[in-house]
Amino acid sequence: MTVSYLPRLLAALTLATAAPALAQPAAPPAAPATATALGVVHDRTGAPVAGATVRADPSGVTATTDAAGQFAIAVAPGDVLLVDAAGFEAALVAIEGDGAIDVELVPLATVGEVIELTDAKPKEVAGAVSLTREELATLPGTGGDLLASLDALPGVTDPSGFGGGGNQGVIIRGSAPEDSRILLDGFDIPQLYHFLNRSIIPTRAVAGLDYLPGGFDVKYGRASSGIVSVTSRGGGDKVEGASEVSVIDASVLGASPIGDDGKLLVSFRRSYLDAYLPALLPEDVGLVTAPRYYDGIIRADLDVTDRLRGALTVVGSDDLTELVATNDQTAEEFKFRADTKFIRAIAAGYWRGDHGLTIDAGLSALAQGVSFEFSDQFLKVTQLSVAGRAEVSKRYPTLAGLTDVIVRGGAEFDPRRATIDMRLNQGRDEGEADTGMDGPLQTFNDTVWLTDLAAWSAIEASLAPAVRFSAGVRVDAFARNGAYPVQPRGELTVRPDGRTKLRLAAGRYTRPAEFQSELLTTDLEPESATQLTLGGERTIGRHGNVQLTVYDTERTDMITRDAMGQLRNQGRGRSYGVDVLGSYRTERWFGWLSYSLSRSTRRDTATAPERLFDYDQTHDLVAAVSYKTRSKRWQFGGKWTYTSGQPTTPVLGAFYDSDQDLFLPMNGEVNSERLPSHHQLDLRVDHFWRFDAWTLSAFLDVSNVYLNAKVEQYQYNFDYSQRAEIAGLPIVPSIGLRGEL
Amino acid sequence: MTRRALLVVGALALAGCNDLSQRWELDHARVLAVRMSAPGLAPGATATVDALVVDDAGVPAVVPPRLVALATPGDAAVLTVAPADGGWTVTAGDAAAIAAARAAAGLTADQPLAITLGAVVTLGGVDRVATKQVRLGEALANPPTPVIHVDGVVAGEAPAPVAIDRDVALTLDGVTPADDLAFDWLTSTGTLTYSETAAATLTLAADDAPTGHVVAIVRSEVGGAAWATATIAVP
Repeated sequence: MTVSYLPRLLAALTLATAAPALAQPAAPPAAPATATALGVVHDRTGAPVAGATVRADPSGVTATTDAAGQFAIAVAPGDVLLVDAAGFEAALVAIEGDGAIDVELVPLATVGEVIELTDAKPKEVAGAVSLTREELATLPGTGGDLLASLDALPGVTDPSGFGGGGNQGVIIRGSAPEDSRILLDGFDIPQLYHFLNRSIIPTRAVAGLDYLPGGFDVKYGRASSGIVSVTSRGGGDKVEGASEVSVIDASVLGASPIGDDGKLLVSFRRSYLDAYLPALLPEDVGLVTAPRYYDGIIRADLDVTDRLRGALTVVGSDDLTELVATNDQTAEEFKFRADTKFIRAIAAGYWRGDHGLTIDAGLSALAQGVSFEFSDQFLKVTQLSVAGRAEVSKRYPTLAGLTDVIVRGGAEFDPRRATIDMRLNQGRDEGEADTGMDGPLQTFNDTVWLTDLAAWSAIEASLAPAVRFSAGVRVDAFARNGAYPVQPRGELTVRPDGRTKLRLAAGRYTRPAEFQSELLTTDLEPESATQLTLGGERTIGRHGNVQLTVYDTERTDMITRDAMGQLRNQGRGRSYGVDVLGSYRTERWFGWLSYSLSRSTRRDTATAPERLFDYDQTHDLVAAVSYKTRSKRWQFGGKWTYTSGQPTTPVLGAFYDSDQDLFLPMNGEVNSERLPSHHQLDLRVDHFWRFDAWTLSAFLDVSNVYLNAKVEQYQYNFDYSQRAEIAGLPIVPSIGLRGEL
Repeated sequence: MTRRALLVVGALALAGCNDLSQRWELDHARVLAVRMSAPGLAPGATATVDALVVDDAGVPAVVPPRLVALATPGDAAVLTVAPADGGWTVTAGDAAAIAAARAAAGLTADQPLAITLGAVVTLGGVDRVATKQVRLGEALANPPTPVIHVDGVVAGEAPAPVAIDRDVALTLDGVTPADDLAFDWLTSTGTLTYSETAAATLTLAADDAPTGHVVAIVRSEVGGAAWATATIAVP
């Protein structure tokens, strides 16, 4: 079977770049109908989808679903059904047996109860997970925070905590935080978190989140691991308002239709820790400005025509923390100040033409300022950027012997101008043990241009009723470093029946050398990863879903320091493991069971011994369930997690430098020990009061209810003769009150 | 970067939330300082080596190292190490050897040649390793030996009286604070603040040991070291 598909695959690879010019929309060949297929089309909740178009391919017969979502269609041997409806992903269904065909459509974007067509969703990949806003907002233990919910996803290492990688991003499948990207409406979010791990983007302003842990499409680049794609929320068809108050911050959100074709959503949030935190801290902690932040998001949607929709999103954030204290041993004054702000505007358009032609385009401007002062060290960065992307897609019922062919091509540009003024001790690198001394002082004062460009092309098509493939290539251009990596990627999907999906994906992925001090040099190549992913997914009943993914990622050209402390592309790495996810969703129940088994290793040079990656996590188990009562007045949820401890390097002893009065550690093998494993239970309860015109709800979300504080790292005393566990907070309660019109 | 900074602040906030020993606590055996009788040697000059240590009971003592050796054997051309009278001496090479070594290290004629020694001190049956630099080519002296004052009174051989729940001033006589001097105060009882300045404050609580030891160490930028010890007691 594999051999028979090979010529088609080769033809398809050629067509990936040439097809738009060569192909003509072709009338489907006529074929005698020999049977009538009956079926029903419904959404995730089981509600019928009326008016959906059902087309038998290649015979070309079409039918439309009735009010009950039912259809009857004449089919020929070898036909496959293409089911398409406004607001849903198109579905390809094999015809098997004599029973009724059950078709479940996945919404393009979910906004509460309103299904909205915005722009193209990320292409599904093995191990991908989509979460709706309601699921994100009510996942126990997250306090309703958007990015905190990522912890529940298979393959994500706990991004929170002082020892975690949440300081820069998300750790996906044994990769560094900078290897993955978190996007809002297709563009990077320059700052992910406020103080206390609160996401910049409030969950209530989000339509949904798509998690692509690997094997993603050529449309995405500049990431060697995974993509988290956040879609902002558009307004609905009616006026709505909401306000949420928690112990940390308060937010207001309003949405309204504008005329017949427009929608507007506005959200604003402000913390008020600064109002009461100084009273809780010791007097000798000179908190000049307690952590305070603002954030806001405005999104306007306009249906210009039936075919053209546009959206303008503006998102911004402003954080400030100032602290002055006196060291009670040296009598020296200690100052800390962090002031960060950004504003990003995104204009996006989505056009659907005749004959399956679509254009998805976006343009974004970014202004960002970072000012960080820590005693005599500082970092001041101002960044300006205008970025854009566009993708043209054309769908053909048949093309070159293939069916349901989609040919895509796109390009993006992201030139950034960064003015950097810094005087900082070099921080500890991944895999570097504590040396007992500050890193060398780095100073830099200059303007840097980072011009990243990319172009891609891909084709996807059905080789047989149950077999579909995609193949494409992406070429990035990292102009500052003069690097132009070519990244071929492909995927084969097999649907042995209407409920089972098997995927095999392979491809090359690169990350530019633009992370922190990598910016200061221009002779680095991008880091590269070759990903191989095999996944299976099966729908169980109407509400259940199970997926299993096996992956193996080989990393080359990893950026590490040589003996002279210079950054070089000399490291290698490997990450492999299994992700398992089972989910169950009904109107009242939400169940979630996620388990990841993984191993991630690194070699700092080609000949260096293999060691564990800093964030290697052998086991990661998350079991969550929530239940909404029949009256919908109460919702109860619980989440239990178990994770392996993070690797750490043991200290075997210390030398005493008597001139500097400093103890220098004698380190054991890098990452040869682990912090204790951790488990915790989070509980959440929501109560809803429904009035004629509005709803009031309150929630109590308690993280770590049985007080099993997580050990985040080991701390040694000054001469390394004693070691203590640094643990996170034993319990974190969150309470909130929300009113919605 | 902001997150990194906030993590630093968080870590600092947590740093005081454990029972790890502080630098100023004399609560376990360790080397407190290593001293050459002269931190800088003219060609052909000789110096002795000793160490200030504390045992697990918090009692300070001055002892000779069990072993002193060159950290880099190749430095034997400019510095020789030898046992003498139960201790160790180091002797600088002649001017020509020092000049040659200085040139080989890329140093100018007025720059000192720093040679690192390793000293092994045995405490409680465990060897402790310390390093010490000696500068060759120029004679240098240690800071003057200080005298500890407790609440303005010279701490002599008899225990100096200290009151409970009161800030007790620890000062030094004989050494003038300067930018090129660093100070370290240590105690086996009570709590010290400003322990890394010329004048520290000692506070004894009711549950602290009523007697103990106080140590003051003065270090100079050129590798010099001097110290003083005193005993204290609640009357």
